[in-house]
Amino acid sequence: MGAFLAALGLVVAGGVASLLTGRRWRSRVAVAGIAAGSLCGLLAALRVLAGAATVALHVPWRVPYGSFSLAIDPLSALFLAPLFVLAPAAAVYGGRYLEEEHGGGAIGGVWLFTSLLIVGIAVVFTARNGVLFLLAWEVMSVAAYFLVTFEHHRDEVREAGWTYLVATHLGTAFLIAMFLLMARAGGSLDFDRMRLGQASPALAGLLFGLAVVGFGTKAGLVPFHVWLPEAHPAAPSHVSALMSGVMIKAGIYGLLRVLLLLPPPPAWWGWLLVAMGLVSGVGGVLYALAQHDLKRLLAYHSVENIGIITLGLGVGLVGAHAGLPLVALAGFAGALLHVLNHALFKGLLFLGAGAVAHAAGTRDLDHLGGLGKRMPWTGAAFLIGSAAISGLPPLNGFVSEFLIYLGAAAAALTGRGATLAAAVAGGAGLALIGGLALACFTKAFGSVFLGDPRSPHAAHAVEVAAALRLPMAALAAACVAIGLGAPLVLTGMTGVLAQLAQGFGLPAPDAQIATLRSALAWVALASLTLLAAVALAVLARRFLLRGRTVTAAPTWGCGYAAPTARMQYTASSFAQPLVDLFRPVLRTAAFGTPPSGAFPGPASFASATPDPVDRGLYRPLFAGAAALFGRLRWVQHGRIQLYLLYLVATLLILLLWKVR
Amino acid sequence: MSTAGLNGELIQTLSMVVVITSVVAVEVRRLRFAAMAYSAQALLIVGLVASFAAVNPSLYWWAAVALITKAVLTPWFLFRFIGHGEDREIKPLIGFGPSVVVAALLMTGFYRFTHGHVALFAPTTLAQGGVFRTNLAVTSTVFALGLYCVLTRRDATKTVIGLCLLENGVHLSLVSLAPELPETTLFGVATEVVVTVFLLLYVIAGVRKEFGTTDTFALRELQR
Repeated sequence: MGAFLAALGLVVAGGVASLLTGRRWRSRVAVAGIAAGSLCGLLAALRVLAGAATVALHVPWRVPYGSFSLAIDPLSALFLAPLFVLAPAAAVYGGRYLEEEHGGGAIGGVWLFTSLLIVGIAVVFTARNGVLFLLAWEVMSVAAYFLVTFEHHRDEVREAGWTYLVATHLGTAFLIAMFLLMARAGGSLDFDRMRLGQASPALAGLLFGLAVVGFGTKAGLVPFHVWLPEAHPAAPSHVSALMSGVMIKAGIYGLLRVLLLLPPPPAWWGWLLVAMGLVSGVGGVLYALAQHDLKRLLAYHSVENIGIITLGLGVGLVGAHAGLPLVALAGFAGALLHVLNHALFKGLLFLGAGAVAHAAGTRDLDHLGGLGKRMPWTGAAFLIGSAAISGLPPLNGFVSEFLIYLGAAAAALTGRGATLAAAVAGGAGLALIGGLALACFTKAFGSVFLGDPRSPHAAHAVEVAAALRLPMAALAAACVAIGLGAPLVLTGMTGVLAQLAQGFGLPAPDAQIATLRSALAWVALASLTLLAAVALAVLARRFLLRGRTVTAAPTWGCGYAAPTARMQYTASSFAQPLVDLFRPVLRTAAFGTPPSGAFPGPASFASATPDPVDRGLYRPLFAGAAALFGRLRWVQHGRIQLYLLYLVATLLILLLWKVR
Repeated sequence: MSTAGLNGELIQTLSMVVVITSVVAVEVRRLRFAAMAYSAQALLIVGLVASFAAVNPSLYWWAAVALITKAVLTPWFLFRFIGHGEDREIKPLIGFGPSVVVAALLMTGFYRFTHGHVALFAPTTLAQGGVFRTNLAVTSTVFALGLYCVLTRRDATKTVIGLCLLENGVHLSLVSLAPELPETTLFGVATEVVVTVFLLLYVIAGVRKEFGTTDTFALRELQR
C-alpha cells in the first residue's frame, strides 16, 4: 500500500509543481511526477496480480457513512495496471505535444488536471467506501471536464464540455441514489461491511438498474453514450487517450464491483448486459463507419469496445447463472482482458490520431491521405493499433474477443433455452462487430495513410518528434506482446478470475483456467506460425525480385496518363455501400448534386450522420424540459435583491416547517 | 460543557463590538471603510471563538480556520477588488437617515426578540444559558443586518459585504448551536464561503469591465 500511496503523492506533486514552476519546466516536472508515480503504482498492482495478498488501508473519517478505506485486490490491480501503463505514455507524448501545439502557454492547468484525473481514477479503482468512491468519481469527472474544455476558445469544444458535464452528473445522480439505497439496506457504505446478500430481488434489481445507468453513462453504453463522441475529440489527444483508454473503464469497474456486492445475479441481468453490449457494439461501429473526423471515429469505436466488454460480462453472468463455469470464466476473462487491451490499442490510436492532426493540420479523413510515406513510424504504429482493434490475429484484440467467442460457443454447445439464445446472439453479434470494425479501420487507415494526399496540408506533413513516436511504439509493442504471450497474461489473471468465481458462487476455477490457457497456447502457436509464414513470404518475394527492376506508380493510377488525388476513393465514398446497407439505422443525410448527362458538369457529394439517440431522445427531452421551465421565466427578472429574498423565504419556510 | 470557565465580560464586550461593526459595515458609504469594518468584525469573531474555546478546545481549530478564511483571505479579496475602482458606494435604495433608523430598529428588535425567545431557535439547554444565549442574540442581529444590507443596497460590492455579514452571523451561531461539529464539516463551511466571495468578486469585476459600473440594477441588461 505504501507504493500505491507514493504513486498518488508523486502524481499530484508533479501536477501541482507544474502549476507553480516557470514555463520551461512546466511539462518536465509533470511528466516526471506522472512517470515516477505510475512506476510505483504499477509495481503495487503487479505485486497483487502476481499473487501477493490483498493490501488494505482503513482510516476512520468523521463523515456520515464515510471512511478513508483503500484496498488493492486482484480486481483493482487488473484495472490499475492499464492506468499506470497508459498514463506515463500519454504524459511523455503530451509533454511534447502541448509544447508544439501551444508553445508552452497556459499548460500548467492541463497538467494539474491530468494528474488529478489519474489520481481520481486510481482512487476509484481502489476505494472501499461509497463516500470515498463518489468523491474520487467526482474528482475524476470534473478534472476530465477541465481537460475537455482546454481549447475553450472554440465553440464546439465548449458545447462538448457542456454535454459531458451534464451527462456525467446525471450519471452520478443515479450512483448517489444507488449508494444511498445500499447504505440503508446494507447498514454501511464500507464495502467490506455492507450486508446485501439477503436483499430482496426487487431491491437487488433496482440497485442493478441504477448501477447500469450510472456506470453505463461513464462507460459510454448505448443509449447513455451521447457525451462520448463529443467530448473525446474535443480534448487534447493524449487526454483523449487517457479518457478513452482508462476513464470510461471506471464504469465497467464500478459495475463489476457492485455486482460482487449484490446477491447472486438472476438470469435477466446477464441477458440485459448481453443485449446492451450487442446494441453498443453494433451501434458504435456503425456510427464509426459513417464518421469523417478521425477522433470522432475513434470515439465511436470506444462505444463499440465497451459494448464488447459488456457483452463478455453478460456472457459471464449468463454462464454463472446457468451453472456453466467454463462459459462464465471465458466471458469474464475475455471482458477483463479486453479492458486491458482496449486501453493499449485505443490509447495508441488516439496518440496516432493526434500525431496525424498535428502533422497535417486536420482530422478530416477526406482531406488526408498518403501519410504512410511521409510518416512511416506513425503509420506503422497506427496500422498495428488498427489491426488490434479490428480483432485480427496475432494481436491482443483477437485474443480477448476469442475468449468471448469461446464462452459463447461453450454456452451454445452446453446451454439450453434462453442461455442458448443469448450465446448464439452474442457470438453472431460479435462476429458482425468484428467484420464492421475491420471495414471501418480499412477506411480509416486507407484514407489517412495510403493513396495520395488529398490536401496541401497532408502533402506537406512530416514525421512527428521522437517524444511522440516513442509512446506509440511502446504501446504497439505491448499490443503485439499480449497477442503472442496471451497464455502468460491469463496466468496473471488467475487471481481476478478466482475472485469473480467466488463472488458469483462458482467452484474454484483452476480446471477452467487450464482449459482456457491451453486454448490460448494454441492461438499463440498459430499466431507465431502466421508471422513466420508472412516473414517467409517477404523473403521469397525479395528472392524472386532479385536482379529485376521494380517501378513505383501512383496509387489508384489505373493507367491514367495524369492521375490526380481526386480520382481516389474518399473515406465517405469507401464507406458508402456499407452505410447504404444500414441506412434505416444510420439515417445518414446525403447532400450535393450527382453527375448527370453525357457530359456532366461539376458534381459534389457530402454526408452527415448525427447521433440518433441524441437527436431522437435527448434533444426532444431537454427541449421539453427547457420549455417547461421556460414558463417560470417570470421569476427571472434580473434583480439580485429579490433573488436573495427567494433564498431567505425558502429558508424561513423550511425553518417554520421544522419548528412546527 | 458549562459556562464556568468562560470570561463572560470579555465575551459580552466583544459581542457588542461585533454588532457595532455590522452597523458600520452596512451604513458607511465609502467601500474601503466598509471593508475595514468587515475585517475588524472578522478579527473580533476569531477572538470570540477563541474565548469560547476555553471550555471546548476543538474551537481553537475553528478560530484558526476563521482567522485564515475570514480575517485574511476575504479582506484581501475585498481590498484587492475595491482598490482599483471607485470607492464611493452607488446610492442605495434607502437614504442614509432612514437607513440608520431601520438599522437601529433591526438591531434592538432582533437582539431583544432572540434573547427573549431563545427556545424557538435553539432547543438545547447549552444554547439557552449565559453567554451562549447572548451569542445567539448577537448572531441573529448580525444576520438580520447582513440581510438588510443585501436587500437594500444597489452596489454589488456592498451586496458581497452583506453576504459576508450574513455568513458571519451563521458561523458564529454554530458556537452555541453545534459546538460538536466535525472538523471536516467546519472546514467545508469555511472554505465554501471564501470560494463564494472570490467567485462573486470575479463575476462583479467582469460586470464592472463590461458595464463600467457595479450597480446591480445594470445586471438586468443581461436578460434577453
